[in-house]
Amino acid sequence: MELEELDLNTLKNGTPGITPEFGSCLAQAASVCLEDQGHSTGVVMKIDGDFKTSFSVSWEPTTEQTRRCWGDKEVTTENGAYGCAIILILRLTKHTVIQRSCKGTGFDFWLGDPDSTEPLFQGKSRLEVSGIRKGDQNTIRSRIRGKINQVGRFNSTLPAIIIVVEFSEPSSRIENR
Amino acid sequence: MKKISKIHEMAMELADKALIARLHGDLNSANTLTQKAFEKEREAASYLVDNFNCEPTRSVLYRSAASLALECGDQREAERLIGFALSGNPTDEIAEELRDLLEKVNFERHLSLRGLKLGPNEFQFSIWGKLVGYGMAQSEEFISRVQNIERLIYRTAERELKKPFREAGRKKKELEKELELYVSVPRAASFAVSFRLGSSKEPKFPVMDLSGDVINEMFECFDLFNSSSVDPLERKFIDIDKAYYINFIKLAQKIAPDGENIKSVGFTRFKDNKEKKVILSTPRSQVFRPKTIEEVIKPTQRIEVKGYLRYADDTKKEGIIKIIDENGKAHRVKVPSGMMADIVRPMFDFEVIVSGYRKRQIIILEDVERASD
Repeated sequence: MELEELDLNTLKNGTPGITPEFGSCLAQAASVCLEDQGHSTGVVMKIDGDFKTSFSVSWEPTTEQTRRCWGDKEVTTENGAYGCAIILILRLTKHTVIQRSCKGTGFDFWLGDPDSTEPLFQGKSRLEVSGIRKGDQNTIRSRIRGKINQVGRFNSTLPAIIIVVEFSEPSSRIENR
Repeated sequence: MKKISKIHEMAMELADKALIARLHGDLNSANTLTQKAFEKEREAASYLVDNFNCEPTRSVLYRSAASLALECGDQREAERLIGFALSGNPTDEIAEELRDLLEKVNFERHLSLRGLKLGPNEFQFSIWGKLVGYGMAQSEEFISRVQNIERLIYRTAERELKKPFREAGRKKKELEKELELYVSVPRAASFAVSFRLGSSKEPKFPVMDLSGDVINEMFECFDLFNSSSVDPLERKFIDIDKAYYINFIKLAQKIAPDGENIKSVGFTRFKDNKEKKVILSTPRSQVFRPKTIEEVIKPTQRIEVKGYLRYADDTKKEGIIKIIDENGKAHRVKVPSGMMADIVRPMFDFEVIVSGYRKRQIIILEDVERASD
């Protein structure tokens, strides 16, 4: 059976909360992470957790300049994971990235219905993403557990979708909180 | 609300541009754009200053503005904005994130020297995390890092002097005389001490400023290590014994935060009339491993053994240790060059967890840590 394609280039179109320029950056970061792990376009990404499926991931090959720009491994893994997570959200749910806010030295992404009339962060869900450049299923599960425990101690939490992206296999795990 | 959305969108677009400029190495533009993004986000948040019912939007906008203020180095403004956010009704989760951000602001403030005069041969070391209070720190977390910094200082000095890597034995007396190490009384700045590298009155290497060179080199290497800039870091060690590179990575990993008990480790110095800071914030489990080890042993089986470190033989370039597990079985572990003296020896007779790769009947050591009780 032919797998459905997950094209990272889609990020270049942007979303209501992501400019096309920033979307391109996320696509580049994800491509650098996948190529760094020896993958080429068409590699199969297994999806687990609240969604069980697989996709064939495609992207434009990176250039030397792109790889140099994304020399900071931690920043690249984080942004690459966001790129993959956002594209999975677009494909698997009715949500899209509606808003962003700054958090630490990166961004915090907020999901909602594209037709939502509620302003800014009202009535939105958070997208919690964690990226692993090279790990196994245990590492992925432990990251998901960590993310859930992190907020489990609060009385009032915001709705969220947690996604852990691993680039060496590659695979992703998605859980609703 | 539409007006606020518009201003917030402008702030995010500016933050995007700042990120892209930073990626292209244009730090001046990145800083200018971050400053503009901060001003816009603060403006957006200010429209909701009295609208305490508009949550989570109010607290998220204030948190976003405070993050940008901190990135611009404006700690006072970040503190003020966090105060506004917490004075409202943020959800527990956002409130906790705001408190974390405030702790970061405090750590940045503590890294500043605040009137403390540091000479050219001095630097300040600070830690912050769950096991650190104002002027108090859990002794093991603090002392082990101080010891590893001392090891790193002398290793860096030996490297600067182009000495072959010392696998065993103590550092030369003449080096200790040339580079006397002093530590100040601790200060309540999260928890901080200053190190001073004293130079001999009759220097053996008069053409060098050994203390200054060692501090410069350590700061540069920490900076590259923290940003996982593997290639530039490797290049610094290209002309010398590779053991120095492995030794640096392993000591830096031990000094780096674990992400829980210690969340940040900072170094500050005064150079060219300016404060220079390096903050190690990436947890040690997430920093890179030296390629030299992985390359040699791939694709063999990864293994972890827990037991007591009870035997060590460092008569050869690559030493051998034995780990006795709970069943009394001895596991032979080969210690790569650069790790025996500074990384393995301090663990002798302790219960440890050894991780590495199996190669026939022997384990090639990648990391060793004290086992928790």
